[in-house]
Amino acid sequence: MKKSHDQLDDFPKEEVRSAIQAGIVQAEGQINNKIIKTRRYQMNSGKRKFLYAVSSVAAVFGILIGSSYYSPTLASSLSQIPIIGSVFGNSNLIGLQKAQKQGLTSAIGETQTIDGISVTLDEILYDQNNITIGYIIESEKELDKFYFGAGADFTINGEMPNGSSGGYGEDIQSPTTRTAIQEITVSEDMPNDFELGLILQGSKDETWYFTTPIKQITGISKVPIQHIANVDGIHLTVTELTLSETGASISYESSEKGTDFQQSRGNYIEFQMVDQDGNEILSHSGGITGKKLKGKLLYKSNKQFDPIDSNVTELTITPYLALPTGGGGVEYGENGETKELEFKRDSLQPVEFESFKVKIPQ
Amino acid sequence: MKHDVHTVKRAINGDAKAFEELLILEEKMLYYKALSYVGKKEDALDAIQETSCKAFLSIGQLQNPEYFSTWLFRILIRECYQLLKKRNQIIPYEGDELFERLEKKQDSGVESFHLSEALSKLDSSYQTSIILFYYHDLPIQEISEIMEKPVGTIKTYLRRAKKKLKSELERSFQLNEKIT
Repeated sequence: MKKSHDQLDDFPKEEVRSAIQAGIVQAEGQINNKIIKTRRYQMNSGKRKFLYAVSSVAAVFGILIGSSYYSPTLASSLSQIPIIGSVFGNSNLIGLQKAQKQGLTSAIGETQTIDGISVTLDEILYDQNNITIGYIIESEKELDKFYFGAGADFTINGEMPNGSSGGYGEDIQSPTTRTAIQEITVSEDMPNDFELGLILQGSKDETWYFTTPIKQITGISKVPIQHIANVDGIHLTVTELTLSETGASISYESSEKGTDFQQSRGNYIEFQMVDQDGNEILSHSGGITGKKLKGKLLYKSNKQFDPIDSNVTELTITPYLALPTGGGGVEYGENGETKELEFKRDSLQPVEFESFKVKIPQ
Repeated sequence: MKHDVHTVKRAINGDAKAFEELLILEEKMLYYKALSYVGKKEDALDAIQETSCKAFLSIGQLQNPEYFSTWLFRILIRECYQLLKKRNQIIPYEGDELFERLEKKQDSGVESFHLSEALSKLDSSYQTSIILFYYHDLPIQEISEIMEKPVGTIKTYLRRAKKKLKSELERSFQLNEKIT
């Protein structure tokens, strides 16, 4: 048959595999009636998205449905020299360090190189709060600061989730080396073990596609709370406290009358958690989902904390409002059109909630 | 058959992992075949992605697992052709080799460098059918599937294309003779 054309010398194995895998994901998306238009992965969700991000006193906080955001908090948690050891082990997040030391993470170590950019999927932790993913990225040439946008999109057993929240942060250690941590907030519909697909896209449309089985860590205990508070029109129900080796979390729901997310305060609820000796357990915020229903705004979230020590017998939890100091938002419409949302800080009045105590079963 | 029949059957039943395994076994062939049709790496990768998608969507219809490779490459070639068609491009070829093949079947005393020029003067459907038939050795039935035209039409394309090529090449040869 024909002789060779040019470019026969180097077989681009990773790129070919990436194209094969992207094609399968694209097909699976079509089978599941998900709208995934790809050119080795360009996603275009037909669903109406609402994305709202503000800079607040609690760093970055957001209502995110179907998207994730670049998180300075995560970025700052990365160590300056994480290549030796692991991204998690060298981060300054206690839960991740602990998980790494105790072997609760899954070490992956798979590297894919496209056009001189090597992305290594270093390790993954799937606990009750997040699926946390560590990446090491090395490139031949210097890359822009936001080359990888807000991190990878993901699939669960090959399907795109209907909605998700999370964060992505990078530490740029040199013009050609960076480490990154991505957090995907665990939602109720995530199975305990599944095939996680990660689709990371570079700004020149390169796509790194990883797939790996993951399993939630064991030893997660749940303490039912059912604490209810009604303050100044905000109805708050704290449902449970979840504890594991890698972190703690408080699950709650809040609602208030109204239809304007910007006039709402229920999405700014945070918690202070202090043990019986007065030691504060550090909070890491956490994504929140919100929806409008029958003239009410309903929110649901898990607020995340560092793991608590084994000698903790009781926690005092104080809900509070972390109202933003500035910011704004963007609403994404069905056809990708955007609408700037003006920041209306003045209309949001602070409120105070009462503390409550939770006994920790020993 | 180079593929494990059980893996092919798993893929036919919708097992994405099995399907991926099969494509990875063919990865080099997929790439170089696509490259030979589209000429550029990026286009070859696009064609592979589309092939992977369409093949996965339709593998349930594959009745004979032993024909998996033939079936897969047919999809790939069709995708390459579609991609070039969208861009109004013709399948690349090497003049010398195509010329040799044409010459075996035609009595023409012209040199290969005139071929490109003569070929470029043909209607794009004629060019494509000539390249697929003589350069890529595809049977008329497959060319008909790729170009989505009846077999009779492809035969007509080939006959007319050869006739036009012949007269074009002879004209070029005569002109060349006069100049030298």
